[in-house]
Amino acid sequence: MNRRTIITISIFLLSFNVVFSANELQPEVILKRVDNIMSAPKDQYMKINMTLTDKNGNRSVRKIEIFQKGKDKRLGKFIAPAEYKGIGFLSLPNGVFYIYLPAFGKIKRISSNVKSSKFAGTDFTYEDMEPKSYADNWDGTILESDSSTYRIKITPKKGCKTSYKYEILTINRKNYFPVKTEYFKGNSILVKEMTADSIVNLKGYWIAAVSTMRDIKAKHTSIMKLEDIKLNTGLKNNIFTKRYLRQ
Amino acid sequence: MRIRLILIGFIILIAGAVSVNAAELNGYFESTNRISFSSEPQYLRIEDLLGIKIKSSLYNNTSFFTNMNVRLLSLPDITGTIDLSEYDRYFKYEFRVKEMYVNIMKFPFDFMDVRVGKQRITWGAGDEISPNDFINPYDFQDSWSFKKRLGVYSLKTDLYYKGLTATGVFLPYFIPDLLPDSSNSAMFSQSLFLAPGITIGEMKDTIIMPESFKENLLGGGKVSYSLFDFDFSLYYLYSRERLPWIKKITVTADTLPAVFNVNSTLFYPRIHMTGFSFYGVLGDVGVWGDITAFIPMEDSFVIDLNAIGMGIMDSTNISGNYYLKYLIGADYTFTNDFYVSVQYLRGFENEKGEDNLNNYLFLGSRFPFANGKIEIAPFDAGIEIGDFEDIKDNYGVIYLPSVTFKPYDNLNIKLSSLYAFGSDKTSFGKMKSQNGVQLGISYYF
Repeated sequence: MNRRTIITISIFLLSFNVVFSANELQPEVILKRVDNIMSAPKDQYMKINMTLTDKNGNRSVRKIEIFQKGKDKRLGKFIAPAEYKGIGFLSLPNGVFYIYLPAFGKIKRISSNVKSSKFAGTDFTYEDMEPKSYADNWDGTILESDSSTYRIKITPKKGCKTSYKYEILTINRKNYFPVKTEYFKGNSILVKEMTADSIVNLKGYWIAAVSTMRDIKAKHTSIMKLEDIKLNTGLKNNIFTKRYLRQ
Repeated sequence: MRIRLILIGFIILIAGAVSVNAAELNGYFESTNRISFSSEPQYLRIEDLLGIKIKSSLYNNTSFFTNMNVRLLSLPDITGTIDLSEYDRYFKYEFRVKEMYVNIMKFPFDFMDVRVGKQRITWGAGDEISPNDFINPYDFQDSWSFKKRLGVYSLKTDLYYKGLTATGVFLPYFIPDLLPDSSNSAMFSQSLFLAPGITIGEMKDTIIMPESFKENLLGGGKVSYSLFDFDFSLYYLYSRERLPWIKKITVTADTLPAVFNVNSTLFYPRIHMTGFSFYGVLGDVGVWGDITAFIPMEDSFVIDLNAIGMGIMDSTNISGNYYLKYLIGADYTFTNDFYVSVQYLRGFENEKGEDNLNNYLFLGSRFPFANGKIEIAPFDAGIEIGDFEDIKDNYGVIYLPSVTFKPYDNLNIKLSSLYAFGSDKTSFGKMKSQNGVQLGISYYF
């Protein structure tokens, strides 16, 4: 390759990069698209099988039934194990979060910091189980982008109540589905990471059929598998009430 | 014989329920082993409990639920050779139906739910203890578990309109608090102060239970609404005191000199109970409160000394004299899932009338380790102060630290200390005779 060819190629690549950058989406647009993908179905019903594995390889299973409407209403109920059966949670707009404990027959409203507690021994917290609205509550900065993914650092906007200092999302460029989320706390310490291990297209909607949350320090993992999912069945608003949470 | 028939019925019911496709069967096994702290430790309680929960969907919006258990008390009760041939003296069984009800959602209207049967209706904001939780009577059979309740037969209707929930409750008959047996009754024992030289001979008591439908009838309601970050509720119940009050004490002279016989009549006076509670979050702190007015509606307490020539010695008219009990609490969860709570309570269940209310401070804690496999509760305690001007003679403390090991899902092994100290004038102080250490094993299936 002579010198002229190298220069030509370099100019070509440089000009391509300039064009590419000009077409690069702004992080808030990408986050908006992520939100649209994540909450695309009007409503969702799913049965989740969660397999927990500790650092010694010991396993246990949680089964949860979840109803979701839009991007900010979610009701969940434990089916198994027997110890947790009947425990429910209700997540409503504006950070309102209730827990139902059948042993006490009571619905308890919990403060935002309780949402950082582990969800029934899993590596997910109550906050992780809430539907998320990235564009409304988080600011994004693109760290990297290649032909297949965006890597965006998101930090909470003022008023957004979260236990994480920031998160890094790896987003599939094709469908804007987050394939990996890294969670950072305190002095920018990576505490957990979640990967979407199997993303499927169901009736035109992208769904993570299998995802894994890893607690980096505890070397503990929770594999979340969707066993049954029904989309757009017309779930009524009154399901997302304390009345149904108690049933 | 009776208990065996009940157990057979219990097994048939379970078998029948699980044969129905829609029935969900769950259960629990709890073993409690308690040993006293004394220099020569003694068994205080050995108890095994097998509980079964059945939930069955009958029709679209209708479901049946029951929670039944069989309790086996394993400390032998043998006092004579005749007992050696009695199986029931070796092992005592107790069968209980804690709850058994039918729940109908959206009946008869979309905005209404109905529940009929024996059930637990939890009112009030307090954590496990609340003066507004006045529907279900207490189960004081084990003094250390003084937060347990009995189910009551009732008809409950809930109406939902936008954010408002209105609840109506109707109880066809009255159930009083279940008291501890004599070996376990320190918390409720009263000291009797007698003049020097006077001896009590025979002591008898009679309890007047409500008999007619009208006398038994209890009913009330609740209205709840959420506003900002808080849930507010108003309560009312037309009921009866759940612990017996003295209606009349008759003192008569015995045939022996300086010996007197006491005959008391007790009853459960009619009472109006009305309360208010709130529950919500302030910043990252959960806060709640309850206040309840108790308005007794029947007269009480006459000491009749006519038989010994001293006339009516004292009488108190309690009718219409209301008194208030209240509770305020807060909890906080730290980032490492450590949980702490504190509650202040003015007036416990066994205290009636403004002058007799004591002050209680309850502390709760829960520190999980090893990914939740170990949970320590180092600060669980209750402090009772009867009189702030004379704390030394009017305080009682119960300290209940515990460590729970959860090796697998559904299995909990809990080691706890049950330690009380303080003045015998307080309920907690009196419990020191029951001090001990307890090993509990729970398994859920």
